[in-house]
Amino acid sequence: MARIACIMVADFSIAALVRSNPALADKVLAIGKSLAPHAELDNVSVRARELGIRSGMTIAQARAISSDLIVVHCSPAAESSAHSALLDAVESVSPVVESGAPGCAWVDLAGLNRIYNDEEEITADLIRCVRRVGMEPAAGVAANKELAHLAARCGGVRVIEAGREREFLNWLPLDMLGLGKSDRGDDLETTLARWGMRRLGELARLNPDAVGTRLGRRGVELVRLARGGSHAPIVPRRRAEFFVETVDLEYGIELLEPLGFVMHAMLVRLAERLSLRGLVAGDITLAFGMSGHRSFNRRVEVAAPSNDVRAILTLINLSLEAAPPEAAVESIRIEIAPRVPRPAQTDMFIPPSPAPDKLQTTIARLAALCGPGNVGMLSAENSHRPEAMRLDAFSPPAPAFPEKTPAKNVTQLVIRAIRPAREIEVMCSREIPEFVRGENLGARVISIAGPWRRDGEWWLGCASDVDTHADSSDKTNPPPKHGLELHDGRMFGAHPRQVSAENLKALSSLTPAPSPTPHLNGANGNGARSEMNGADKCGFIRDYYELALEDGGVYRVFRDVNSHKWFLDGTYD
Amino acid sequence: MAALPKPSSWVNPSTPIQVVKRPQQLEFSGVFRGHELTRKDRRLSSGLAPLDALIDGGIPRGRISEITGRAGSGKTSIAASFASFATHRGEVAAWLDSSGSFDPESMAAAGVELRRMLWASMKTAGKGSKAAPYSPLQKGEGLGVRFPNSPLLKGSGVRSPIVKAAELVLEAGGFGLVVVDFGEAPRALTYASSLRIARAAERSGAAVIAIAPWRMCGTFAALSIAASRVESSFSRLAPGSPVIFDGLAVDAMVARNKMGGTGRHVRVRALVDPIPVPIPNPADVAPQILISASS
Repeated sequence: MARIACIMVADFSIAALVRSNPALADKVLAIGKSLAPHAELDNVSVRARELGIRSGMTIAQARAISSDLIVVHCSPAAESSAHSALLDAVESVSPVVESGAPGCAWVDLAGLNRIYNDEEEITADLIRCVRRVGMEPAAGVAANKELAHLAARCGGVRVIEAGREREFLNWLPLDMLGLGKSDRGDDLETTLARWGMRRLGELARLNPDAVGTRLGRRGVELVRLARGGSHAPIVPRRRAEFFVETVDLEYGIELLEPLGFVMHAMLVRLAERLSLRGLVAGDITLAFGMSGHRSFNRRVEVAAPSNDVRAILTLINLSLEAAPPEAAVESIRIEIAPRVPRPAQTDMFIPPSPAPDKLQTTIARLAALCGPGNVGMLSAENSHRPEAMRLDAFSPPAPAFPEKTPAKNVTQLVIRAIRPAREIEVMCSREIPEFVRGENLGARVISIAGPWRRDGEWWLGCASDVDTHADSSDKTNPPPKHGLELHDGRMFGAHPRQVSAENLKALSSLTPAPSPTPHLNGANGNGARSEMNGADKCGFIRDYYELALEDGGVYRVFRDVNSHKWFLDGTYD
Repeated sequence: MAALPKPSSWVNPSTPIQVVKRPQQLEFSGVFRGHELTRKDRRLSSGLAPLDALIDGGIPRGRISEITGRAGSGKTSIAASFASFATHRGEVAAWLDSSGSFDPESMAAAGVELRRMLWASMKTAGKGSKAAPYSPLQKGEGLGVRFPNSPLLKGSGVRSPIVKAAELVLEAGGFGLVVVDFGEAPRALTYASSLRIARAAERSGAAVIAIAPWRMCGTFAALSIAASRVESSFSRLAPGSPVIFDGLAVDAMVARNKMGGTGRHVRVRALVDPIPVPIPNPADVAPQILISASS
């Protein structure tokens, strides 16, 4: 037999408002159709109800009872967010959830007995989850949706055990149902009281046709409900692909700092919803409604998915600081694309690695500190430029058993790169560097190695030229990066170190302009060579040197052949 | 131009490794003349036999170790050897780069497994400098936003971005090695900043290496290795052939060691194209004691 739980939030409009603005929690609060004194109140908070304020009163009447009354507009945005949060909370317990009226959801409990001991435990967990998203729910468990809903309306937690439904219906007072009006406009509760009906179970003994004749369709529904209701199955909703929180502001916000306060609260609620579902925040989409019916949209990419609100807010703030909205913000919508956190299995015999969630949080916070373009896994780009590099998201592979590394007695010399390459002044004698001068640098050259020519990217510069190449494979398979043909036909360049200092003179004569084929790599004919010659202007040609200076350092410098300028590229350290 | 030096004999050395050691002092359990006692298995090796012999097997985990030296002294190469060893063991490492000088090509050549190396550059954090010409920022990757004044730095007192980043990484836990590269002209760390890094390192158990021209962490550094370049070698393979740059000979001296052994030093070779040379068997070749330096 099916068991269904109904989770319901009483006074949902008020609860949604309080959720979006927790400062209203203990206030005498009411929702009005308008803020004019004669406008009627739609909903009142528990505190206001305790003071005697009721729905249907005018604002003036209510203020006569309590001068502390706060009247606000109804907020569809807050209600929508609260209802989504409610569904997320109950979905963290059971995957089969049907969305009901705002503030109401049904949960199929089938199969949960393998996780929980009894239904009380399930409802306790459901209530705990809903409390985490900022609402106080009531829960009812019964054999069908209508009975569960009736049980939830009673408040608190009420589990109708199988076979005791009749007992519950016989007990249920009609004034707890909020019957409203019949089709004819009569007050149902008053009519039924005149008939002597005080409890729902008493309606079950009446003839439905006769009740329908007197009370219309609503009366027939009541009799059916009193006889146990229907057994319609739950229609599960599709799981949300995005998590959205929306807030309508009473006044427009022009400054970023107060906007950050509002967004912080929204992000906290979103992070709670995500963590309930075992997800983390991925990319964020902001949509601001601004004064003058203008809108502002911004997509903020998160370097590492995380639920760290501080880091996410920092990323948003930085993005907004770079290009702030142009008008006062009147409504805020934050949409988060959820991501599944990286699972990890640790082992006793392999080195520990950072926990995935902590690592992602740390990367997100580092990205907020340094900028997303400055955090990650750095690797050399597949390029002929030695300074080219690629930054990927840092995602270390699963730990493996330690490799047995043999001990060495020499190590690799590492270079400290200077980015961007710093322009320097190099004094040469017969094309051989003799003195180097630049920022924080000025020393005589003691030893020199090079030049080693590097060139490339000349095939990228002019797309039209590339397209007209006889051999179109050059575009996808760029030729080898090193190589040079002298005028006399001798080849250099299978390895950069084959170009030596002794050849400086010959090299210096190979400036791009007069030479018909300064780069031969892969060229396959005279026609193609002339086209490449034109494309050379878009690439680069550099002569690299390693210079040991008198100051004790060994530097990597290069001369840009096209501009004849010298640059300091790095220091061997 | 000065005459080019002759090819160094140490390109293909025939001489044994010269490890300089102090005379062995007697150790008793719990008493070691005021030096700190650290479990020997909690050390991170460099994979360089002479250097490991110098510092008793490696740098201590959970402590700060400094590698100091001016530009071109070889300090980055020594740090890279520790990173290489850690990442090859399967550990995750972090390289916090204050000056954006991390060169992935040479690091990969040094054996650093870049997939296990988290890199973070503080070059643009806290100031409005432009990004590098070929950095991914300019390629439109990432957020496409500038980070001149990171709000994370607001309210963080006088802590520099690199100190904050080091704390963040160490707090995450699970990193075997965190290299903090302070660049070539760092400002001195405050007492509080050094203390925070030291405590975070102790909590996480990660080995922390601070690279700087001078000592940065004061009394909170358990080990300080002073690197200095002894010589740079240029050579020719044959008469008339191109001159090539071979590498550096680096002298690594223990300037401070809370575990004992201050004053010892060893020569390490950092080559552009290192050729593995078999390590002589200690049984065949007795270590050569050159200097007996006092701490």
